[in-house]
Amino acid sequence: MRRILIIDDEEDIREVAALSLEATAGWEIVTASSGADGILAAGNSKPVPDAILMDVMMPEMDGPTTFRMMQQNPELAGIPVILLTAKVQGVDQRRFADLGVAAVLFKPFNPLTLADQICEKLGWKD
Amino acid sequence: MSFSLTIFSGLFLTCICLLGVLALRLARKVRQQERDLGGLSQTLERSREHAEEQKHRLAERSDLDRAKDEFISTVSHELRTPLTSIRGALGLLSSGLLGNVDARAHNLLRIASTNTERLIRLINDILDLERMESGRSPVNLRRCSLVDLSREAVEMMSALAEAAQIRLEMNSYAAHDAIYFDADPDRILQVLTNLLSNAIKFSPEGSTVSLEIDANTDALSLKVIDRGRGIPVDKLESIFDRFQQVESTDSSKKGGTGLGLAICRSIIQQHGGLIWAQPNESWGQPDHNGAPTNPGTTFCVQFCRSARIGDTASPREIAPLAERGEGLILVCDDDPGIRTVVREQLRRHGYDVIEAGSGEEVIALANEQTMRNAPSPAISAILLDHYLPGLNGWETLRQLKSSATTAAIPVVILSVSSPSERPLLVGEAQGWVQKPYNESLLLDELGRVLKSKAGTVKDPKHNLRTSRLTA
Repeated sequence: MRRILIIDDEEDIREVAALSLEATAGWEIVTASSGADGILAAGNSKPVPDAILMDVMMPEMDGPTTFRMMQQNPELAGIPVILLTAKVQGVDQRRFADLGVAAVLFKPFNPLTLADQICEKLGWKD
Repeated sequence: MSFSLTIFSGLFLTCICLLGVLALRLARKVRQQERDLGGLSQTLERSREHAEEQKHRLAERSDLDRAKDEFISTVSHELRTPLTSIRGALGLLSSGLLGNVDARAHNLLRIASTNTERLIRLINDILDLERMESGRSPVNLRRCSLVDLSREAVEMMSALAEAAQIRLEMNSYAAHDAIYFDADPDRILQVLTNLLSNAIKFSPEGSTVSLEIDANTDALSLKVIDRGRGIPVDKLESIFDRFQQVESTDSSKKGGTGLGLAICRSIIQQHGGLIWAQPNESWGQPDHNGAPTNPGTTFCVQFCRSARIGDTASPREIAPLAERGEGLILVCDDDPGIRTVVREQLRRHGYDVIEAGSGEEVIALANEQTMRNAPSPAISAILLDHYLPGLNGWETLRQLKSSATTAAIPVVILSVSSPSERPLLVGEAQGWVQKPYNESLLLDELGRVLKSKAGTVKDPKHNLRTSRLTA
C-alpha cells in the first residue's frame, strides 16, 4: 500500500485531500500542517512516504523552501514531491518548473480524480 | 598740407565712428546671442524637466500595474483556497464513496457541486480576461494551419456534441496552401472550442453545427454556424461585452460564465483580427423537408495573413526569414493587442522593440533613450498609431519633430486612415502603413525608411507607399 504525506496549513484541505486519496485509491495518508512538521513527519515515517503532496503558500516555511531543505537531506531527497497550489498564473508555474519538483497540481482539485492525477504524474500503474 | 591733414583726420574720425558703430552692433549681437542661448538653455532645461516628469509618471504607472497584478493574484489565491475544501467535500459526498445519501439530499449536493464548478470557471475566466486586457498574457505566435486547429477543436467538442445530440461538421473552401497564418495555437483553440460549445449549447437537439473555413491571399475567415434560436439584432454586438447574455438566465441554464465571448474577442484582437456575430444567411428559409427553420447565428472570425511561397505550419521553432532587420523600434499603439502582434512580428525579423501606450510615453521614451546614448540616436525608428488618447498621433509627431533631441528619429505612421485623409501628418512622417496591415508590407516600409535614414528624406510624400489589406 502506498503512503502519501500531505503538507498543508489549511486543516480543511488536509482533511478533504486525505479523505479523497483514502476513499478513491485506498492509500495510507500522513499529514503535517507546516513545512517544518512535514520534514519531521517524512523523516519519522517508516518506511518513508512514496510521495509528498505539498502546498506552496504556507506561513514561516513555504513549499519551495521546504522542498529545497528536503533535497539537502539524503534520506528525503529521493521522495517525489508534488506541489498542490492555488497559484495558477503563468509566472508562478514557470517558477515551480525551475524548482525541480516532480509535478504541480492545481487547486481546487477534483477529489474523485486527484489520486489518478498523482499516478499519472509519477508514472505509477496502480 | 593742412587740407590733406584735415581729410586724413576726417577719415580717421569716420573710421573711429564706424568702428564704434560696429563695436556697438557686435556688442548688441553678442547680447542678443547670449539672450538666445539663455532661452535655449531654458528650453532645454524645460524639456529635460518634462522628460523627467514623464519618466516619473511612467514609473508610477508601472508601480500601479504591479500592485494591480499582485492584488489579482492574491484574490485569486484567496478565493481558490476555500473553494478547494468546498469542492472536495461536496465531490466526495455526492460520489457516494462515503456511503449513500437519500435522493433529496443527493439533489441538494448536486446543486451545490454544479454551482461550485460554475464559480471556479468564473474565477478562471475573470483572471484570464484580466491578464489579456492588461497585456500581460504573452501571445506565442507561430505559423499555424487554421484547418488543423479547427479539426482539433471539433474533436475536442465531439463528446459534448454527442451528449447534446448535435451533428458537428467542418468544411474548408480554402486553397490548400492558403490556410496558414501567424497565431498562438492554444489561444485560437480556446476561441474555437468556446464558439463551438456555445453553438452546441444553443442548438436544438438533432440539428447541425458547422464550421467553415475560407481564405484568400490576405485574409483567413472562419464561421461557426448554428441553427439555434438566433440573436436579436440589437444584441449582436453587446454579447461580446462582459456578462452580457441574450437572456439573463442563460448563464445559469447553460453553465456559461458570461465571459466566454469577451475572452474570444480579446484573443482575436490580440491577433489583430476581427470577430462578430450575424444572423445566418439562409435566415428564415424552410429546410429541405419544408419545415420552417430557426434563424440561427453565424459567428465570423477574420484574420490577416501574408502569403508565403511553399507555406506550411511551423513546428515549435520559428521559420527563418529572408531579410532581417536590425535596430531598436519604438512601437506606440494604445491597444496592447496590436502592440503585441507588431512586437512579435518585428522581433522575429531581428529588430529589438520597446513599447509605448500613449503619445506622452513615446516622447518620454524617445528623449530618455536618446539622452542616454547621445550623440547617436538610440531609437532607429518609431511606429506611431494615429488615434491615441491624450496626445494624439499628430501632436506627438509635432513634438518629436520640433525637439532637437528627437527630430532625427524617422517616424512611420501605423493608422487606420490613409495618407490622403491626413495630409498634415504626411508632411512630417517618413513612412505610412495602413491598418489592418499586412506583415510583409509593414516590414518593407520599415526597411525602406531605415535605409533612407542616412540621406534625410526631403519630401516624404513622394516616398510614401500605402500598405493596405484588401480583403
